[in-house]
Amino acid sequence: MLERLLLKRRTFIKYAAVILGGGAVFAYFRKALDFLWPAEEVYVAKELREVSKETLELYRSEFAFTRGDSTGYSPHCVNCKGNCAWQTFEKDGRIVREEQVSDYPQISPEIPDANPRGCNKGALHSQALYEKDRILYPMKRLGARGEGKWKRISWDEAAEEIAGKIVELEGKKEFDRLMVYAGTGILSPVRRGASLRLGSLLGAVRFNVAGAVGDMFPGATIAYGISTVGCSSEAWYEADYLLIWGINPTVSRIPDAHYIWEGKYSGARVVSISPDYNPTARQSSQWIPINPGTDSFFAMSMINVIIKEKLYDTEFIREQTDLPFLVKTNDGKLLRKSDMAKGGSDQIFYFLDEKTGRPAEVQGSMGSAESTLRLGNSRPVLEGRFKIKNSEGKEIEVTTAFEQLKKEAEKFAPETAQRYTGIHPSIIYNEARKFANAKKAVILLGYRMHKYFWGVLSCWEAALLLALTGHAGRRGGLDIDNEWGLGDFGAVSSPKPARFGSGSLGEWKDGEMWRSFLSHYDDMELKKKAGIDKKSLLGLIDSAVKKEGFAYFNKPKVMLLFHDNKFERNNAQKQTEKALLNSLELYANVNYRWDSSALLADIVLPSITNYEGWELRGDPGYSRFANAMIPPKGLKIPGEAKSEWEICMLLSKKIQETAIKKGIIKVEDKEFNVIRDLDTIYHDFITIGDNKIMGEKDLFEWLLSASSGSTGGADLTALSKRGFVKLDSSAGQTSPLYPDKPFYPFEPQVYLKQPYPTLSGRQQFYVDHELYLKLGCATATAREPVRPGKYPFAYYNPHTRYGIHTTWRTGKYHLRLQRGAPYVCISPRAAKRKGIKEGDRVRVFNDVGEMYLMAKLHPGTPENVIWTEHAWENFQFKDRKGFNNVVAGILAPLELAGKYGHMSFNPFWDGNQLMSESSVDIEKV
Amino acid sequence: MRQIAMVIDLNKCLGCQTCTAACKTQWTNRNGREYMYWNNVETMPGKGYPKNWMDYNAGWGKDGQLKIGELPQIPEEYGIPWEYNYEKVAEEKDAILKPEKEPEWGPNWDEDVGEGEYPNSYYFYLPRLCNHCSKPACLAACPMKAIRKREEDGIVLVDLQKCRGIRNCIRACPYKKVYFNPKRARQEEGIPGQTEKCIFCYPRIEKGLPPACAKQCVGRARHVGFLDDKGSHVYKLVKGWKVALPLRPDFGTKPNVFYVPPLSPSKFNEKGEPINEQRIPIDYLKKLFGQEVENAQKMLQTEMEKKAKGEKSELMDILIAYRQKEMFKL
Repeated sequence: MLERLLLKRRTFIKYAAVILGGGAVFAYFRKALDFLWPAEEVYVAKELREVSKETLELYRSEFAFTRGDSTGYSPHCVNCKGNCAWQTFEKDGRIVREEQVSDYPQISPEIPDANPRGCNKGALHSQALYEKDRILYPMKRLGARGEGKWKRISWDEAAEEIAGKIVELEGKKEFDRLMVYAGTGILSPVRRGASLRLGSLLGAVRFNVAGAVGDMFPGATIAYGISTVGCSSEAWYEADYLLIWGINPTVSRIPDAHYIWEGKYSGARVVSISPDYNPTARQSSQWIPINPGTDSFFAMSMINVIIKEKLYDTEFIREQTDLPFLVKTNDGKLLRKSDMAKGGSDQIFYFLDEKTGRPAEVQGSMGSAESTLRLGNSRPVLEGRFKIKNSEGKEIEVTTAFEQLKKEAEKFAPETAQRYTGIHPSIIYNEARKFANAKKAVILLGYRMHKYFWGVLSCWEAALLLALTGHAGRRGGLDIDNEWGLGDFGAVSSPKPARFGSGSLGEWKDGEMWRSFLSHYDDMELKKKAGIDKKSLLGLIDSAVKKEGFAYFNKPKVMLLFHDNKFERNNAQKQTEKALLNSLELYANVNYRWDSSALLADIVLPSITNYEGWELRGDPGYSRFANAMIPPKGLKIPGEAKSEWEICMLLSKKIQETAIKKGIIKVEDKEFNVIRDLDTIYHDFITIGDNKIMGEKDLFEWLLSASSGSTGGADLTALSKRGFVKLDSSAGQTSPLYPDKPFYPFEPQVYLKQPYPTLSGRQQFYVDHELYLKLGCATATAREPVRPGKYPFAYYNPHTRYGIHTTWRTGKYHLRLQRGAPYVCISPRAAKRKGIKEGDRVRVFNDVGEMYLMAKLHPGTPENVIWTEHAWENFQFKDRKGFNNVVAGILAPLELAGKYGHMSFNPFWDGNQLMSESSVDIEKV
Repeated sequence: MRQIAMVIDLNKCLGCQTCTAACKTQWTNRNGREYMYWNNVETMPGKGYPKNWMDYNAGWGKDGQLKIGELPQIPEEYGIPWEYNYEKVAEEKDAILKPEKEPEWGPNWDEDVGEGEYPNSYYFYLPRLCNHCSKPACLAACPMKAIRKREEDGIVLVDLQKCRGIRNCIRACPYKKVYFNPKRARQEEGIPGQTEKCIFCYPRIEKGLPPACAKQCVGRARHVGFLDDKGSHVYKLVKGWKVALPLRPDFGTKPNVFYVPPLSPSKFNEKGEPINEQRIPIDYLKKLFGQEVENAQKMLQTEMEKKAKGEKSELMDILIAYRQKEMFKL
C-alpha cells in the first residue's frame, strides 16, 4: 500500500520543477540541495542546536501573558456532573485563560487520583466570556417577539416594568400565573438560591427541574424510594464488572471517564450497550449493539438466565428485597395486613416463614412499627403457591413476588428477546454469568434511558439485576445520579412555601404537547405496543393531576426565567413555543448570552457567568471535592452584567416600592395559608437570620458556614489557596463518604439493616398500583418501543462532547472542531438507499415538524436510526426549526401513577419528557 | 543531546479535545495562528488534519533522500477558522447562526466516522503534535538553517530570527505539523510570513509545568519525560516494555512522540456472535505503527489478564497512572 502511494505521489523531481517556476525562492532551493545530512547517530549538527534569544523570548512573553496579573478559581456551574476545579488568569480586567487545578489529593494508593478534572468546554469558557453573543445591557423588545428589534434600557427601567407586572398579578392573587424559575444553566446554591428565594417569597410557580428536562429516574425510585443513587466515579475503577447502559461516559462524563479505562487496565470487564458504536463502545471489552428502545428485553433476558441458572443470591433477596412478599393470586395484589385482619394497615406486608409455614408480618415497611430489615429467626420462602387463612378464617391463595417475577422472566429467554433486541443469545448467557459472578458489579445507567417510553422498566430492571445477584453495598450497585449534601440551605431557598410543580406535566400542559402526541401516534399501533390507546393515555395524564397527586398550577402570564433554555429543549419545538408565548403577558429572561429563549423574551437581563462571581459547587456526586468560584482580583465584569443575587435584590426592591405605592402590601395566599408581604419583600429577601446578604459574596460566605459540617469548616482563606475542598463523611447521603474508599450507596440498608424509603421498606420489585396491574407491569417485564412505524427511522439525540445542553454549543471554537453547523448521522447504507451523499443538505421530517441539516455518513450507526447530538440552538437551523422540532410530545404511563407510598409526587417521583420515541424520514434537499 | 518525549495512550484517549482546547488558548487563538492546531485529535481511519496529510510523499525516502512534497492549501485543507454572525442572530428575525462560508472541511471533520460496516465498524482517536523528531525532515529541508533542535531537550523550534517563510519545512514534514503564518510577513524584507509549530511548551517546561496538552489531558493518556531517564514513564513504555510506538516509522524522521496502540472490541459474525478478532484490522495498525504493533498489543493483553487474575503488572500500573504528577518527569 505504502509503496503504491510513494509511486503515485508527486516526486522530488516534480516538486523541483514546480519550485523552479516559482523564481523568487530559487536561490534558497539551491541551498537546500547543498545541505548535507550528517550520517552519525546524532542527526543534528551542533550549529543547529542553538535558538535565538528573541525567538525564545517571544513565546515566553506570550506564555506570561496567559498567566495573567491576578488569578481566581472556578468550576463551571451548569447542568454538568463534572464539577471541576479550574484556575483562572486575569490580564487587563479580562480572563485570558484557564487551567485545571490538578491538585486533588489521592484518596488511597490503590485508586488513581482525580487529576486533572475538566474538559474542552471548561478549557474554552474564557473565550465564551467575550464572544459577541454576550448580553451586556438590559434590553427591551420593540417589535414582535423574536423579531430582533431591541432597545437598551436601564436596570431601573427593566426592574420597574417587571415589578409592576408582578405586583399586579399578586394583587389579583394570581400566584399560579407567575413563574419564577431557574433552569439547568445554573445548578449551584449561590446563583440558583437567588431565584428560588424570590420565587418562594412571591409564591410563584417553579417546575421540578429534572422532570422539566427529562432527567428523572423514576425506575430507580420505584426500587429504592429515591433516585439520587450512585457511586463516586472511583467505583468505576474498583468494580471488576462495569455495565454501561444508556450513557456514553467517554463523551458525557469526560472528567471521570478515565476511571473506567484505568479499571479495564486493572482487569475489569467493561460492557457497553448502545445502538450506535459510540466512543465508549469503542473502548469497551464488549459492545452490545441493541435496537433502540428495546432495553427492557435485554434486561429480562439477563434476568431469565440468572433465574434459570440459579445465579441469584437468595440470602440477599430474602432480606433486602420485597421478592419474598406474598401476592394474592386472585387479583395480583400484595397481601396486606388489611387483608388479614379488619382495620389492619394497608402498608404492612407478609412473607411465608419457612420455619413455621405461616405468613409473617414483614418489618421495616412504611406501616411497620419496627424500622429494620432484620429477619430474626424467620426465613422467608421465595417460591411456591400457598393457601393461608386470615383472622376471620377466610382462605386466601397466595404466591410470592419472586414467583411472579420468575413466571414473567420465563417469557424472555435470550433466544426470544433477540427478536426484539437483535442481541445474539450467546452474549446474554456470557454476560449474565460474568455479571452474576463478579466480585463488584456496577451498572452505570444514563439519563438517556428514561427518554424512552419503557425506560422506567429498564432502569427498574437494572436495579433488579443488581439485587438478584447481591451487588450492593461494597459489592457494587446502580450508578445513576449520586448527589452530595453540602448542608441545609432551606433558609435561603424556601423562606415561604412556593408552588413546586411537576416538570413533565408542566411542560406538557404549558406547551400543549398533546397536539403533537395526537398527530404522531397511531391508536391501533399504540394499543398493540403499549396496551393503551391514545385516549386512555391522555386520560392518565389528566388523572395524574386530578387524582394521583402531581402538581400543576396554571399557564404563566408573567414568566421570569433564569438560565433556562426551555424554548430550545422542549419537544415539538415550534408548537410548544407558540402555545407558551400565547399565554405570556410579560416574559423576562436572565442570561449571559443570547440563547434561543432570550431571543423570544420581552425583557432580557444580563447576568454574570462562570469565573465572574462567588460560588461553592459540591453537589454532583461523582467527584468528592467541592469547588469554589472566586473571581480574580483584577477582573472587570463586561457591560452591566449583574449577579443573580443582585438582580433579585433589585427586583424585590422595586416590587416593594411598587406595592407600597399601589397599596398592595399584604396578600393572603390561601392555598398555603401564608401572607405574601410585598411591603417588606426587599427586607425579607436580604435577611437570612441575623445576616444581611447584600451580594453573592455575602451569600457565599453564609453558605460556607452552613456547609461547614461537610466541608471540614473550610473558609474563604482555605478555599483561596487551592480552589477546592475535600468533602467529609457527612456529605454522603445514601452511605457515609469514607475518606479513603470509593463511595457506594445504601450501606446503612445492606449492613445496618435500615429500611429503604419505599412502601415495602425493601428494594421494591413488585408494584400493585392499579395502573401497573392494568398494564401488566406489577413485576418486571419487557415492552416494545412505541415509535410509529409510519416513518422508517428511529430518531434520538444523545449528548455531545462540545456542550452541556446549549451552553457552549454555539461557541466558535467548538463548532470549528465539528462541522460548523448542525449535522445528522445516518448509516452509509441507508443514505445510499435515500440517495444521500456525505455532506449533502437534508431535510428530516415527520408530521410534527421538520429540520434542515447536513448529512454525516456514519458507519457506526444502525440502518434504522438517524441521530444528531442534542442541544443545538434553534437559530442554527433554517427557519429556526431546531433538533426537537420533529420530536412528538409523549409521557410514559408508568410515570403517571401516584399516591402509592414512595411513588407520590416529589423531587424523586415525577415524569420525563420522552425524546427518543419519535420516528422520522429523511430526504435530500 | 538529551531528548524529551511524549507517550500517548490511545486506549485512554477519550477524543475529548481538551488537549486541543488547551493548546488553542495557550498558543493558537491569536496572531495569525487561528487556523493552526499545533495539537489536534483526529479520528482514524480518516483524512486527518490537514486533509490527507499522510499522502504528501514527504519525509525521508528509503534511499535516504529527503522528499519535499507539496504545500497543503491554507486554510481550505486545514479548515477555515470560521467566524460567526452572533450579533446578527440577536438583531434579525430568523437569522441563522452560521460561518462566513458554507462548511466543507474542518480539522475534525471525520470525527467518530472511521471505516467498516455496522456492526463491525471501527475507529479510534489519534492525537497529533509535532514529533520533535530525532531526524527532523523540516530541519533538513530549511535552506536558512532556521530550524533548530535544542541541545538540552531535543525540542525542535523554528528560529523566527532566521525564518524567511520559504516553507520547505512544511513541504518536507511528513506529518504536516509545521504551519505557515502569513501574519508574520515582513513585506519590506520580502518575507511573505513565517512558519510556526508546536514548541513542546518550553516556556511551561522552564517553569516546571508539563506541556498544556499533556498536563490538561483529562483522559490521563499522556506521559512526558526524557528518553535517557530510566525512571521516567516514557523510557519504561518506549524502551522497557516496548508498547509505545512511533507513528508512521516509515517516514524515517525518528519521531519522539510515541503511541500505545489501540485495542478494540471483538467483531461479530453474520449471526451476531462475537468472534475472536479485533475490529481494527491489524494491517491498518501496522501501516500506522509498524510491524511491532502486534507484539505491543499482545503485551498489553497479557499484562491486562495478569491484573484480572489479581497478579501484579508494572506495565498496567504505569498506564493506569495512579498519580498524575508521576506521568511527567521533566
